[in-house]
This record gives sequence, structure tokens and C-alpha cells, in this order.
Amino acid sequence: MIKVENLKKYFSTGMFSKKYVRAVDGLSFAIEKGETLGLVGESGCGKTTVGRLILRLIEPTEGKIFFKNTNILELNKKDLRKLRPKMQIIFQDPDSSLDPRMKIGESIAEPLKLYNIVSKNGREEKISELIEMVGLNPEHINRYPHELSGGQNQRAVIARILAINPKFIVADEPTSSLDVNVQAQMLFLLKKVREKFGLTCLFISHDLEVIKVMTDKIAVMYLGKLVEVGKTSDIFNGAVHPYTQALLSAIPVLDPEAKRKRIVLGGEIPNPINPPSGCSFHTRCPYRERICEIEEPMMIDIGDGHQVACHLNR
Amino acid sequence: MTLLSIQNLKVHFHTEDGAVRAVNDVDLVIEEGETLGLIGETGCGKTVLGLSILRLLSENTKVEGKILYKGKDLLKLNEGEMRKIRGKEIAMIFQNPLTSMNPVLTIGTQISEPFELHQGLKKKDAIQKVIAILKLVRIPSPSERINEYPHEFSGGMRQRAMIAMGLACEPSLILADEPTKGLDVTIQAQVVDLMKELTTNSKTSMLLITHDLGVAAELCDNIAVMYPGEIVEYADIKELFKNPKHPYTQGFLGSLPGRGLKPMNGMSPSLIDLPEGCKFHPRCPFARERCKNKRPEMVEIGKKHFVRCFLYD
Repeated sequence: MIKVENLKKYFSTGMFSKKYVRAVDGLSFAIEKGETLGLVGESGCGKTTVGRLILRLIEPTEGKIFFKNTNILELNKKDLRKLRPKMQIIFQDPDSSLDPRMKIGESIAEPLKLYNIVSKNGREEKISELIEMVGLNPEHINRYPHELSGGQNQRAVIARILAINPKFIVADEPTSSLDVNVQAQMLFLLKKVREKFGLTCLFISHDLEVIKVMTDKIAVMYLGKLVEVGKTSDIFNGAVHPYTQALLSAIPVLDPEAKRKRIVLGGEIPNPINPPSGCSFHTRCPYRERICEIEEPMMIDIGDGHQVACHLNR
Repeated sequence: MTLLSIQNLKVHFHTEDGAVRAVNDVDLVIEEGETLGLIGETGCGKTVLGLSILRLLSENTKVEGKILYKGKDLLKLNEGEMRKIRGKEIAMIFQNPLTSMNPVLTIGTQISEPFELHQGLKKKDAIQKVIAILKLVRIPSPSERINEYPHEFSGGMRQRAMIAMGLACEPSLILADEPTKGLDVTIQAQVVDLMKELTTNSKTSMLLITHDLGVAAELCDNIAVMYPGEIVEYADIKELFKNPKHPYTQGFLGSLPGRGLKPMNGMSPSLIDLPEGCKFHPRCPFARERCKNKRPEMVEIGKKHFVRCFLYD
């Protein structure tokens, strides 16, 4: 369904001397039809940029992005517009995704009008149907976003997206601003509509607990690069890359009696303007060797689609 | 020894939309050396409860009840006496260090302030102490970084500087309001480890206000679960995870991704418009007629395990 090859995005910065932030630096991955891929990483690793690049909301510096065998980077404006309804995004902050001066019903009607999906007479019925599907009440149709809670607005955003029958959805931290219970309701809803519409998803999150229950495959990102890719169960049961291991061990365990070793990483994420030489993780890696400082590790398949980029796994 | 005892606390304030009943008849005790977790969702009044202890709420707030700290009622102290308590006896770690720090003062100046104020140290000696305490919270090359401003620190470093500021005068009680909110998992792990280290082997007590049960599970001895305006369950941490009794606590735990991801119906009520009777009854699967009219009392159902629910009456 989605295939990305050697995707790069450098942002230029600096007024006098040009420097480049390597936000995304040579990413390749694929998402099969009906599959959900989780993109995991800490803030500033470039995961949001990947989500936007895939939908061509920003232009990449280099690389190819295929949607069902069409390289969307080669499409002209008109063809891209035709493709847009098939690929949609749920942003992190629902309040800023909705027009504050539009009633919820009007917001949902927008895409229906724009792409002429149902006739004018059928519109109201379609809106009620969508509102019900995402678990809002009919009375919400005539409310403004500021009158609803964050969770309800996020539901409205989902209703608006479903209105145009998308095939592929990027969900960028869709629940990170929500309370635990509202988050559970939202994830439940996402699972439901994903099944019902047979959606393919890229689920971007820093929350590994959420990723674990929502995805089939995981791609772990560090400083603009992928360090490990594999089936969700394989990663959670046997992460190979030291960074993935540290990430997993950092999840607070919901059991006060659990005894475990935590790998606490020292230091912070390096500046992507000036990433470390060799393996970009070597400055924080507890197992680094000489070679890690010099040579960049290649992505190697260690079986069953489980890939890892680390010198320790030659 | 009991360090802090909150008795029958009520905090109400007026807004344009109506009276906010943020805290209603709350009783809590914190022992010396104990870390108590105050758990609840957004808007349940947990932050207001924390702020009321240090009397940091605005003028139009009505506070009733008693907050006994080492036997003294904080609500009866005058402003001068209160100032001697803040930062020295009871310190607060706020959830957003960027807005809680002064952007135009260097980190060194900010953290040295409590030393000068409460311990009467000269600036030069205070700075030496600041460097030592920044080292304790593992800020790299602290003697240079004290000359930097808050915006030059990363999120995790700012939070650690905030913790350093709270620890500066070795307070007996730390109020930590969502100290790891907004931090990345690996940085959160660093901060949690640091707080664990600082509180386990010392007499310092802590009230940890959070919605994150994972963080609470690592740091707390006991947990009080808050549902708009009141405490609905209190137990030691192991008991609470193994044997949650209140339907809300059960639902809250069950809604976590790691424990089933089964959402509860509906939403928490607003503090302006609280339901009659048990506050949880409109969402409770076990609600009966009397839950609608009468507010259940806190009952002890096991050793140090209290629940506010008619099911255990």
C-alpha cells in the first residue's frame, strides 16, 4: 500500500552560514494493505516530519514515496488533489484541526461538499450517520469546537476524515493530549473504524504502551534514522537494538512489586544539525565499540522481517 | 510520625460560570518519609489540593478545614509566617518548569534565592551550594551552566533544575505536581530514578500529584484516588494495584493500555456541576437508587484500605 524509499528531509537554518537539520535521513519502509505500522521515537527524532512527508504536506529533499505503485512525488497538483481524499491525517491537537468558527456539523460537511461525495439532500443524513459512528450525540452537530471537550473534538475530526472514505491514515500522536480513560475510548474507536473501513495506518507515537496495543509492526526512529523494524510482538519480546531496549525498559511498569533492570540512558538526544559520526546512537549507547564511532551501521535483516541497524549484530 | 494532616478540607472558588467546588471534605495524612500519590484525571481538583497546602490560591478562594503541618494549622498562619514555610519546610515542584521559572534570571540566581532567603547565605556561598545541588541532580558541568538561562536548558534538564530548586533547603515535604509530564520516556526514566533516589533513603516526604499510574507505581508508598473533588479510595500501592475496590479505581486501571484498554462510559463531571449523592453514580455499572441521593462515607475495608462506596457498606 505504502512504500517509502530513501526518504530524506533537510531543513535549512541559519541566517548567514547555511546549516542543515537532518530531520529525516534516509528512511525506507513499507506498509501492507490493512496493516498498522507504529513509528516510535522521542521528541525531535523526526517522526512527525515523516508523517507529513508521506502525505506530501511538505516536500522531501530526496527519496520516493509510493501509494499503490504511484510515486506521489511525481504527481502534479491536479492529480495529487484527486489522491488527497484517499490519504488523511489525524493531528495531535484536535482543537486546532477544527475551524473555531464552524459548527461541528459544518466542519464534517466541508469535505462532503468539496469532493461532492453525497448529494446536497443526502448530506444531513450522512453527517448524522458519521456523528453516531464516532460516538457523538446528534446535539453536537450544532455546537462549536470550544463547547466540546478535547476527546469529543478528536471524535469530530475522525468523523470528518471518515466522510471521504480514506484508504490510508496517518495518526500523529492522536491521544497524547487526552486523559487515560478518554484515551482508551479513542483508541477503541480507532480500532473499530480501522476494522470497519479496512484502513491502512501509520501510527506515530512516543507512548510504547499505546503502540503495543495498536500496531502490527513497529519502526523505531532515532535522530532521523530507523534503528529497528519488526513485528510488534517480536520487538516487545526481543528487541535487539540497544536504543529500543532502553526505550522499552523506560516504560513505567504498572506493578509496584515488579523487579527489573532498567537501562537508563545517560545524556540527551544530540543536535540533529550536527549528528554524531558513525552510529548516531553511539554517544548514549552502553555497549559502544570503536567501530560505532567511525562507521555507520547498515540495516540488516535478522529473520522474519526483523531488521536492525547495529554493529553488535553482525 | 505524622508530618501533614489534612482534615475536612474544602476549597471553593467563584468564576463567571459558577461556583467551582474543587475540593470537598478531603482527609489525608502524610507520615514522615512517606511518598503519597494523589491520582486523578484532568480537572478532578488534585492540583488545587496541592496549591491549597502552600496557600498559593487566589484571594477569592474559600478554604475551610484544617491543614496541620507538624501540628500547626497552616490556614491560620499570617503571610509572614507562611513565607518561612514555603520553600524551606514545604517545597513545590511544578509541572511546567518553563513557565514556573523566571526567564530573565540565570539558573544560578534562581536556585540561589532560597539559600539567601532562608539560610541567610551570601551570594558567593549560595552559588557554591547551587553548584553542589545541580551536581546532585546530574546537570553536566554545573559551574558553567549556572550562568545559563532557563531557555538554554533542555526539557529534562529544566525539570531536574526545578527539582534542585525544590530540594535546595532540604524541605520536610515536597509537593510534586506532575513532575514528569511532557518528558520523553528515557528522560522521564532519568527523572523518576532521581526522585526515587532522593526520597527512598531520606526523611523527606512527598505528595506526588499525577495521572500517570506507572510513575506512581515506581515512587509511591500509598495512593489516594481522587474523583472530582473527593478521595474515593486510599490504600497502599501494592494493595491498590492488586485489589482495587472502588468501581472508579477499577475502571481507571482497566482503561490503561497495559491492563486491558477497556474504557469507562462517559466523562468525569465538571467541578461546577457535580452530581448529587455519589459523584461516580452516573457512570457506575453498580449504581443503585441510594447512590443517587446519598453521599457514601469513607469505610475501612482492610488494613489501611479505605473506600467511599456503598458496595462495601
